[in-house]
Amino acid sequence: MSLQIRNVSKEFESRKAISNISFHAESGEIIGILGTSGCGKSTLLRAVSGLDTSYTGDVIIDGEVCNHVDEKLGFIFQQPRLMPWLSVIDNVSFGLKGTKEEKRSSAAKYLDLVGLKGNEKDFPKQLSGGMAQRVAIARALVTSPQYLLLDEPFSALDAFTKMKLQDLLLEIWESLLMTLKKRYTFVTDSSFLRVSLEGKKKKS
Amino acid sequence: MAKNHTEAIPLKGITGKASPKPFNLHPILIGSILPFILLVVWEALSRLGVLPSYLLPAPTVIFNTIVDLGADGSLFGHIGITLYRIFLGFLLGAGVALILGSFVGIYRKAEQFFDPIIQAFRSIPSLAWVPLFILWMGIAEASKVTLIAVGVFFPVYLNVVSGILSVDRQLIEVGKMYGLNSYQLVKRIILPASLPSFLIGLRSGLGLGWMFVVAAELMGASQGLGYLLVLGQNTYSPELIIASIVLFALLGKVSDAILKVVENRSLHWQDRMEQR
Repeated sequence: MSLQIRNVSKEFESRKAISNISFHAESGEIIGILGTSGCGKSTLLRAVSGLDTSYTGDVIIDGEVCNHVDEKLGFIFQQPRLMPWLSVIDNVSFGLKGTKEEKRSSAAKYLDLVGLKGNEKDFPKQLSGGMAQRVAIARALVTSPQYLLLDEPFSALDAFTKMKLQDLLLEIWESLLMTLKKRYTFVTDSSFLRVSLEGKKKKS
Repeated sequence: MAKNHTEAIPLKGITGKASPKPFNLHPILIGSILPFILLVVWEALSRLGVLPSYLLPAPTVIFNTIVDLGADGSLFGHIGITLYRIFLGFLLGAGVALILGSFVGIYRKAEQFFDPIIQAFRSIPSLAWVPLFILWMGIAEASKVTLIAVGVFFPVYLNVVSGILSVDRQLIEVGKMYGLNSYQLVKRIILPASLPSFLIGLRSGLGLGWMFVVAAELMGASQGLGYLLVLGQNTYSPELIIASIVLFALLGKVSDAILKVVENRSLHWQDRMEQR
């Protein structure tokens, strides 16, 4: 099981957003993409996720070139992007298939995992920014993606919740791709750093 | 134990006076104050002969006219046929606007194909359709309902299109990440997200529907509140004209209030200023 990014480039009109990015993620790895605001981190993630297909290069998932949205990928966005007309539990079960009861049952487990048991019937307008992002995380986890793309999703969370959720994600996911701009602000524009971690031992 | 010095001290303890109780009135009562004053002044001026009764009869005379119409049974017939026309015209106009507006909003090609001609039709004054509709459909119900439907169509159409076009692209991306196809995106994201705009369109459309039903009933009806306006004019009965206007206002207000309730229930999830 692997995710390979090969020479991915993207231009907006005549301006290069990302240029020849390549890396390879094996099972159990975390890849951190570091760079200042506007250097193309989110652009790269959109290309990897298949939300943007107008790039050059290849995104190879488990040995197959993929230029569309794949259910093996999950995406946690910078903003929670919850559907305001759906309750918390229906937001979490949004991407699930099956009967309503089955979907709600799975969603309830993940809501419990992110510490939002009891908030199932709330609507997004009733949540704080941190709670909304936790719902978004539960929504991404509940479909059991093999690769999880995170676009600075923890920026709105308090330090304790942030640590708790990072631990949770490490326990669950074999491969995790994340941007950590705020923690590594010294990295210059368009810099790219590979961080390889194997399990929880090295994450500290 | 020493008292915690950070404990809040009630303001009352310092001033020695209780803060005055705010002057609270129910919103309906507040909204009734001005009409009540105007009615009292109008009634007084009419009774004192300041306002000539052949031009502006007293409110009690108008009220009695409505009661008399109710007593002889004709009032319900007039109200019924007007409501029937409004209902059919509203249903037809809003239905076509919803279908066409959704199509135009979702498909860029459809927008390029339909929108120019729809915008051109929108700039035609509504009453300009009257002779054509009479020519095509006669003075029976069909021409009246069609005219009302034309009036309702444009605000609903515009709101449906703008509602769909302003759906947050980020929500669409969430749907795409979960592999939703175009139909599912429309059903599960685009339509619910554009519901607030659609409901505003419905309320605007209904308001125009009431304006158009007057025009429709003026163009040759034998029953309806618009017919009562013409009858009042032909029989020199200002009380009948004003009674008809009052009934239009009441029915318009009630129908809008019903839509408002539907709007509030459908959009309970919205974080709105109104919910303060």
